[in-house]
Amino acid sequence: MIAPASPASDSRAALFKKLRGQLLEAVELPDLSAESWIRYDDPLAQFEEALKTVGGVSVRVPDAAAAQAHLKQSPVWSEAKQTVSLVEGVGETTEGLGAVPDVHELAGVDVAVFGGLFGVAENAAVWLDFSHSDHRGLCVLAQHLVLVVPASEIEHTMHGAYARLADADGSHRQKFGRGGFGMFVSGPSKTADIEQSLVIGAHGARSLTCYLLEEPDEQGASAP
Amino acid sequence: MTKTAEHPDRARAFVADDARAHWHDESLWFVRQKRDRQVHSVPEWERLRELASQVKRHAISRWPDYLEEFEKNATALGAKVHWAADAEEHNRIVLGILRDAGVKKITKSKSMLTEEVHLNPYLIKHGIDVTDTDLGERIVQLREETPSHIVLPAIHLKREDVSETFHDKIGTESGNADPAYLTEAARQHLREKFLGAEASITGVNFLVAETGGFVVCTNEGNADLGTSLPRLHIACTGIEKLVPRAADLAIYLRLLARSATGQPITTYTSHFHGPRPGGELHIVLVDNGRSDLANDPQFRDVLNCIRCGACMNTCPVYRRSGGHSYAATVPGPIGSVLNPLHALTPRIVRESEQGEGVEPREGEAGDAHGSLPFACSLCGSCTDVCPVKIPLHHQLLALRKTVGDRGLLPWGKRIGMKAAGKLLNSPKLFGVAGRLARKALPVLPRAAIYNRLNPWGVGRDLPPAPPKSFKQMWRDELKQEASSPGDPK
Ligand code: SF4
Repeated sequence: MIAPASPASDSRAALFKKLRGQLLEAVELPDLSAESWIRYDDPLAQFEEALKTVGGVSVRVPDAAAAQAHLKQSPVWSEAKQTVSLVEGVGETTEGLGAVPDVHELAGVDVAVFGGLFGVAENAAVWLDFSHSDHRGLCVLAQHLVLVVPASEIEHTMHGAYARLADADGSHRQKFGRGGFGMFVSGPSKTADIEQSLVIGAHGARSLTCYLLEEPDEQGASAP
Repeated sequence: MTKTAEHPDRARAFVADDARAHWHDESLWFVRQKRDRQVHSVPEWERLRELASQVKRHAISRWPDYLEEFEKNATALGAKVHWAADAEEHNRIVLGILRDAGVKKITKSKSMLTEEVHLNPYLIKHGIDVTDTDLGERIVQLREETPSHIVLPAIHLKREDVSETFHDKIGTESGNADPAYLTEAARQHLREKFLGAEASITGVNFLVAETGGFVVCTNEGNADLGTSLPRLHIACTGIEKLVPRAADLAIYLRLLARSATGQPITTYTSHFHGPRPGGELHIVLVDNGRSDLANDPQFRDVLNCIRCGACMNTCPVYRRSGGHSYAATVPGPIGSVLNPLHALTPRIVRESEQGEGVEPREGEAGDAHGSLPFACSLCGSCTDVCPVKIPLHHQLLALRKTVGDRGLLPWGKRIGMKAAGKLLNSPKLFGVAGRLARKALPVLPRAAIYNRLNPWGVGRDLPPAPPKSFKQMWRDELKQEASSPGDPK
């Protein structure tokens, strides 16, 4: 038996005693690798379509420089007072915001630029990995979110997405088990809690723009 | 036994406002239709449901092993894991953590578990300032109501209601009921709360045994704003939210938002593995009656539930009677199974140990929820849409018997059922009753049929009585056939 983490509480002991005393019929754990899932003819186009339906905007560009040029033209950028970018060559970080000691100081950020590792065609989700940084708050604090994702890195479904995040043995013990934080983000923040009418910009980003880089350069759009 | 209001009594006020009840019905049907469109875009939908059910059933079949694995891995990541037998212990643990950290102000993201254990009133009583941050939950919190739906907490309210509440409580313009305006006002109001909070509490959608992490899904981003600002995060969860492997998440994430609101996935799907740098993470695992449910093969599958709300959106009774008529944290079909079970299971467990005839203990009668399994037309739509294949309408039918066996039926049903039982068991009696009814119905004054003793007759009319019984008609038919030459074959 593994020793409990906290000094063994009575409730823990009682619960395990009860559960161990129950004789349940065995149910096999299915092998998911044997399954076949939907594959889209053009996953990139499907991703763009899905992003539109969840309220986001996608822009195909050849490279980071083109993304930068496009971003600089956008009203969201020209109206922004404070910005933070975690992607080389796309957007900029306002002076003094690069290494703030407390995330509360990022409360006024207008635009944040993140690099997504990959996207998912079926639902327009983009995986953001924060295991090496504590900028997780920024992606909900910023008024507008800009993502940069290589156009070639689109998985068909969530199964492909988790396969992407797996260790060599197919489990997730190493990568996830080392700790940290990661999220799928699909479109801007939204709510329909008032009479089911959809409002974009609930608590998090009011808009989400995703640059799909057709020829990402070496250190371009990778992890933040 | 003290008499408590039954589902039809509690639904009365809601039903009385016909226009509003109709509007409620349509709002939910709209969500159901959005779900259908998403479902049709996934060719392997049925296979996913099958797998989702199997993985959950597997996890429950090895429940203690996976719980231990989760605890070990979460602890190795630096989280502190707590175990609570019931609501009272859960609330005590949470308050203890907040007190140790000297915390007075917290934000909460949506968690049905903390509703179930009544955490808010408990913390407020002990001097903690609690702000619900999901928009729907904040609306009902400001109105001092409870959520009427597990995914759409304020679905029973119209924009004018929200406008009035916001005008009173957070100072929005009187009469402005534009959802965009109201949402923006809530955003500003809650930003301040987020930035001022000293700790945050979230629920959990999935615990992953293999990694010791957990996943929280929101559309608004409130769980992420809440947890990324203060250093203390407390995640509260039922012990059944367990999946063995991270790869299993793909199955559930493909099903959850599509079933819930007809979206392909929630906007934010956050994976927490250990506290953030310099932070503190507590995970409170709550039993509160769940462990007993595993023992019963007929009802075990309720532990599969991922709280998507699809069964509510499709339920003709829920849509027309409103969530509050269930007087329970979880309403709708799954609530009509869970609540009576929760009330009755301790007694059923004792019966299995000591034999029949066990006396109910204080507060164990379950009569408050005894009428819920009858708030159902047995149409089976809930079972059809449930993404984890809980046989809801079969369970509801079975529960009617469970409730009946323990004398918890409402009086009117008890007498009616007894009489119907006698009648249907005796062909002779049935024949006599039929003859009488056919004679009496056309000539009886309305008041004799449509009165207090016949709740079924409220708002409904009987069809005209046929001149002959089916039996008579059948006999006449056979006679005729015998006397006329048969059809050439
Ligand atoms: S019972 Fe099924 S349909 Fe109802 S909330 Fe639970 S998972 Fe969803």
